[in-house]
Amino acid sequence: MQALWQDLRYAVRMLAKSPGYTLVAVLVFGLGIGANTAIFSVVNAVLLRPLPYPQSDQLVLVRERSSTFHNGSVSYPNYLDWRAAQHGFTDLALVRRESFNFSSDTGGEAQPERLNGARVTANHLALLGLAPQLGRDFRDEDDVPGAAKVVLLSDGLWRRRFGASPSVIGQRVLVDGQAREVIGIAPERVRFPRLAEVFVPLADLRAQENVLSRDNHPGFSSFGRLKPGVTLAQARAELDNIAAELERRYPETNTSRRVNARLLLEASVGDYRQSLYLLLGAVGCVLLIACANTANLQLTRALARGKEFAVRTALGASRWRLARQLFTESILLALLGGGGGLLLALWSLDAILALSPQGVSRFQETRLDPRALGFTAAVALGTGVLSGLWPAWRISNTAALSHALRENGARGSSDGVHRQRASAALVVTQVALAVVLLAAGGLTLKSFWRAQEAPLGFNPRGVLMMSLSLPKARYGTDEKVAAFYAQALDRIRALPGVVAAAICDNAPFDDNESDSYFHLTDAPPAIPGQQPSAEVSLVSPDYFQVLGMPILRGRNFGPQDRLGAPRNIIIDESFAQRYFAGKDPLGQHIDDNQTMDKTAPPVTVVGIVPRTRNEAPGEDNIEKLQFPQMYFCAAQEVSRGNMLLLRAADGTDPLSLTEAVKCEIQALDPEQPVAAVATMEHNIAASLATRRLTMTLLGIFAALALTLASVGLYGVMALSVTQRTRELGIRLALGAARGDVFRLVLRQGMTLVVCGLALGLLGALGAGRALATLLYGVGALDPAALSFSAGALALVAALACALPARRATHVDPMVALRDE
Amino acid sequence: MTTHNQPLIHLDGVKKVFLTDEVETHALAGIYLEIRHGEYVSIAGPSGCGKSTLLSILGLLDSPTEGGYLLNGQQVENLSFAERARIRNREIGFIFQSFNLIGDLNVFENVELPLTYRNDLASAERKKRTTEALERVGMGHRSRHLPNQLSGGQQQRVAVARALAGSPSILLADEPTGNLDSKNGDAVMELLADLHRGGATICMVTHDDRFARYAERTIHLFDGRVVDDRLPAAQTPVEAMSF
Repeated sequence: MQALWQDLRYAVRMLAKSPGYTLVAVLVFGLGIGANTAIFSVVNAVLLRPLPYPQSDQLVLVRERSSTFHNGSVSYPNYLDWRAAQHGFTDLALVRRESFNFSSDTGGEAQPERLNGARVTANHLALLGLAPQLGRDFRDEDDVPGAAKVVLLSDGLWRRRFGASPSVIGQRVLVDGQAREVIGIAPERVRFPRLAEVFVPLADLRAQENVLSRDNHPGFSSFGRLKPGVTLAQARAELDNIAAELERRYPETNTSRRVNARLLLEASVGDYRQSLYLLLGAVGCVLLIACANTANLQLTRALARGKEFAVRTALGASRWRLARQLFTESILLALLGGGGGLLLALWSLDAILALSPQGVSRFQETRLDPRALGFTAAVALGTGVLSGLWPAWRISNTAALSHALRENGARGSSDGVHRQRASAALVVTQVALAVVLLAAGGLTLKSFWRAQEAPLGFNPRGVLMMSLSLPKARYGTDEKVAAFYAQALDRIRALPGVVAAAICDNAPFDDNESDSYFHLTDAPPAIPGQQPSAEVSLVSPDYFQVLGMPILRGRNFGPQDRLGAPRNIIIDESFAQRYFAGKDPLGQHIDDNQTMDKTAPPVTVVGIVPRTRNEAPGEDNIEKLQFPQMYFCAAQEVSRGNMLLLRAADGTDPLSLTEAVKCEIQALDPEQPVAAVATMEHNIAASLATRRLTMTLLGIFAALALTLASVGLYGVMALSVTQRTRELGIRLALGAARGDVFRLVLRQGMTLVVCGLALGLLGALGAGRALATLLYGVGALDPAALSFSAGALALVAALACALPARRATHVDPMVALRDE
Repeated sequence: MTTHNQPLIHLDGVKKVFLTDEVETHALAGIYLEIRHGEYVSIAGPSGCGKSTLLSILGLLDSPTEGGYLLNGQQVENLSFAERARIRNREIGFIFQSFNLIGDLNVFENVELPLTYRNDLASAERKKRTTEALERVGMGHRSRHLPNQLSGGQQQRVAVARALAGSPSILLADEPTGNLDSKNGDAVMELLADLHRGGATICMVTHDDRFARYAERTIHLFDGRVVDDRLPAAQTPVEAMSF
């Protein structure tokens, strides 16, 4: 222990004696460790941290899987059958994300709000293993049609809206215009469904005709808790068997339908797993580069201290003792770097979180918790050992030491590159890792650019969006709903600065999707399970004008498309090409799935519009399923919930119209809130958040890697020039021109670079494969991205070599005459 | 022995002053010297007398502060770095005290090295000259060895071959036996004498009288001046001089 203390004191003294070296080493360690700490903190918060429920690893999300949808919503009758027949779960619950108009029923002045919420079965909280922090949970009798209307509030809503007053229990609030009694406050940690603040039982939904239809999948998800001893695979197999039985009993609706059962944690954040592990891998590479860099620094310094170690050896120091001294210094440096890294991580976390997907609370909950601190300490110790390993071995190798000492003798031959083989290997490693990161950065950069440039089929500039939903309690008939929206659109259209206004229940980039089967009238019936599907939107006539979409053929919706009149639709180009190839789509008939009346006459195609991209590039509906689009007239197919879209006049900031629009809505119905106010461009940008995060961080890490590798290369080349001064002098004395010497040094450096490039490009091929599923519109072996990474590195590396090479040309040839 | 009317080297009042910390050091205080083709000259003198400075100016590694230097009839004291490099490469062959072979190059590559700096020499010609030079010093059989696999004497032979390979006008040898034992020193001196008999012009710096006697002419320097310049036969015994 005393020896260790002595080593430590000596290490501190040695490092203090060389502040420049210490600063550089701590900085390099700090950058590597800090980047790792920051990314690990995010990975820990999002992927590794268990869900905040007791035995959360037993919670399983169950969705439906079909030939079309890998992760489809659950049909209510199927849920009932699963629940009744299964034995692997303690129970199964059903939930659906919704949003509600919420206001107090107390005559207060608080504005009505549109809040995220959920319809849940009564066992929702109990299955999560939680109980309300105040009041009571739902009971089975709350969750039957006709039951008294009750509601559970989230902790956040309770605090924000009711000042955490316990007296809220028993109060009545308005949820979608319907008075409900607050029976309890959910625990603060409830995060399922995502962002929900208001929980209401399924209750009346259980009696609705469309919900009771087995072929309707109205956005439900099921989840359950595995019984002790039951594995996920066993439970999944059991549910699949039940689904197979349902297929046999209901072939019309359940052919090819099975279950998609995943752990709730995986289902919640699985989409981010690959991106985050990729980033963790990238910072791992940065750390390795930092290790190689500091190992080189330490090796150089250790060799410079050769005489000191020789004296220690002569005085009886063992090899282990010498190695331990160097290890102590290395670990001390790494720990100092770890401290700096922590500061860097703290500082950078805010920036990282600002880039993260905003709707995923686990990202925003990222903190430097004890696990992250433990990780930092472990990484700092590990890097200290790793980077100290080679110098310690080198200096403790007494043969090597004695050779190093002899090198100062008069053997008469210079000894350049051999002595630097280890340094060269470390530089090659750094360059190779930097190329891998640059290639990955290049690929994601190009992918992001392609995603941004992906044709939308509409003009998003100047479009403002907001959602509103009319409560059934006050808008009980389609006529009332249609009248409200017609008046609202008339008022909004009249606002100065508004060019056009429309509604749509499934607008592009509104975090909502609606798909439906259809059947071409007169075509043979489709095989069950293989019915064609299309994305469905209910739009008002000005919708296409708001989005700047031309009517390519036929006509737009008009006054003739009113409630009760024969129903017409507009289709997009892809629909026309796929299903009406070789014939005129206009006037064709389609049996749709929008009405429960199976005897309803088919709809008629009256127009064709361009294909639009409604979701972020890479989403299944676009890339894999390539659903065509059907537009119904909102006057004929009435929806209470809609996005309100308006186009602002040129030169008008769309967001500046928000208050005026809200006023018009309030003027029509003071109880009617609007929500999700954003420009279309903002929503498009938000849809690329994960890509932007990956691209930005990979870009930063690649730049960091390039800088560290270049500094490492420069260091080795500068050292090489110093060590080869005599050799260079000899060459100059023998008649080498300055250009010869410049090329000699440059060639030596670039040889290392080329070796690193070759290895790095091989690594980049592997990295490209790992990235493939995250890329959009770019191949994993994209020549431009790979050339860019190789070119950027070669250029920077050439600069890093050119400076020492230039210095080499100024060596005085007289050194050849001086004896060593 | 080749004879020429014009001297190979002509120094006219060459001075060299070093400025260090505002102190002027007169390393050479006006050297007048001629060396003719085929001469074997040794430069002797005590430590600090200016031998090495003179050799570095003769070898175009350094420029005189004052005075003129004609090499093969060409004024060379004010040439650019590149021009001096070119002349060093073609006209001068260096033999250093510590051999100065490059450790990462084998014997053949070391000898070939100065020839690689000539852009007008084909690869085959380079190989031929290198082989000839190595044969001439009796090291042809060790051409694939690295310097650290050779004895000191052998390394110096290789260094001589390197100096010869470019067919220079003059060989400048700086204490060529300084790092060798007497046996190997003798062998190297025999080799130089042999080259001289074959027509080579040699200018050697040495402080060892035994080796200075191999030269046909000895120039003594003292305090940066030539204090004696005579043929060995007429020379005052060196032992008598208080250097």
